[in-house]
Amino acid sequence: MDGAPHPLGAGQTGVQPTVRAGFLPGRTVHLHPLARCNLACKHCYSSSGPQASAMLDPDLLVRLMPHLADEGYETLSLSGGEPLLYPELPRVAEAARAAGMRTIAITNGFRVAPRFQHLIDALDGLAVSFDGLRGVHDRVRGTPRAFEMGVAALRHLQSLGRPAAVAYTVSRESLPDLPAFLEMVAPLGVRGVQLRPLVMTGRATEEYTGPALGPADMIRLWLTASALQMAWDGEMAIHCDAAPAEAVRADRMAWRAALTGTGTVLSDEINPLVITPDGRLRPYTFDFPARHDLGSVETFMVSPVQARRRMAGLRPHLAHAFEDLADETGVIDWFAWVTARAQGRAGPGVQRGIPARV
Amino acid sequence: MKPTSNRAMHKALASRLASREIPDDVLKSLADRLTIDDLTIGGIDFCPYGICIDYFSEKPVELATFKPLGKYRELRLFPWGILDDELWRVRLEVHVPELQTVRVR
Repeated sequence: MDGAPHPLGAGQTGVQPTVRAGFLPGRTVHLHPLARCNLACKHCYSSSGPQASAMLDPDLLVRLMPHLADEGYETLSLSGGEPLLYPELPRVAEAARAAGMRTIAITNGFRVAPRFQHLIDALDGLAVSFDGLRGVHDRVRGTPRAFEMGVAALRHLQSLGRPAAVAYTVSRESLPDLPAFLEMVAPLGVRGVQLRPLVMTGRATEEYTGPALGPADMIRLWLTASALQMAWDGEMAIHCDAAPAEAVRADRMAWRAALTGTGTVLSDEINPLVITPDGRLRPYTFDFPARHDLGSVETFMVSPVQARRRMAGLRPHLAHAFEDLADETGVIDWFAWVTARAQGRAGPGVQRGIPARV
Repeated sequence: MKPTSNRAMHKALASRLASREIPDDVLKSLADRLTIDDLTIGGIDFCPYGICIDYFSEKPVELATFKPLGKYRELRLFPWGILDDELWRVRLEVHVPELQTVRVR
């Protein structure tokens, strides 16, 4: 039964563990090579914008890729800032491919156009980010062209016969737009949609607090997503980064290596691994507390074992996060949940910075 | 029901949920009602009666377990079988009047 899916998670009933590490289907590095962006979105968790200057040395990143592959990472997911603004994106992506990793990027779509074909060709897949239909999206992005450019990007990818995906930020404002949005993008060749609950961190804590999701919104999101998954079954894969707390709890054995320190490579315990524009290796989320950083890109290349040793300080927070689920009956974003615990804001029902509703 | 009608029903229900036609407190109480100790929710589907919900259990299941759900129409119990003979899948069609009056266009 190796590798067979199990509804309660491998290990709980004697089934052999799968190779899955955590709740992601693959082992992923979220690389933020730069903080600069042509937009300054109200909800940006990395506070990116035109004035942001932090950027990683491309030579350093090229050298880093084989080390990441050696630690079991399979996918390099580029974000930012706007990743298509990174000057040497093709070279870094080529190094990742040469190391055996798949390369994808999440973009606002402004550079997904014919004159940037070399950037598109450098990547195995592209996801265009949206925050709702035109009205909400353009207001959040701070420009009246943002929605039009995002849609144009999808049209361009469709014309190239390239698979396209969408990363959709779900807020109280954008959730009502979601069914109509899917009707709009389905004919544009979109084959996957990731629904990402708004994270109340970075610039969102100052400019976008109103649309934060409360506990009832999370239930609404999960039910809506469940209905939409059935509605679009066979045409678009819809993934929601939210699940009932008890389902998360039941699947805890996917985290066995991280909880027990029995991983043999870093990706057994840290998935996803985040690399910030200032070169820090961080567990799980961009806003995970810096005291749990696993080191810098440079120190990681010298000694990945040190990064794994740093996991020891994180383990109690992980265990605590699972223990807290026992009293939770709602729907949660697991990574927000565990980040809140590591930040010291524990207690059932606490999402990151989300004001209590209902 | 024809597959196309099923699809339309799911879309209509998604629109109704997303647009907040169903109030927050109703959804919260529905989530509380569907949560049963010692049973894990494995998945849900929507049907004209309400919700078809799959639970998984590693212990023998008694009918009284489902009393907090209120009205339910049908209960089916499957051994998980080849994958794991200690595990039971329980599927219920639960009456959820909160989700009714979905208009399928």
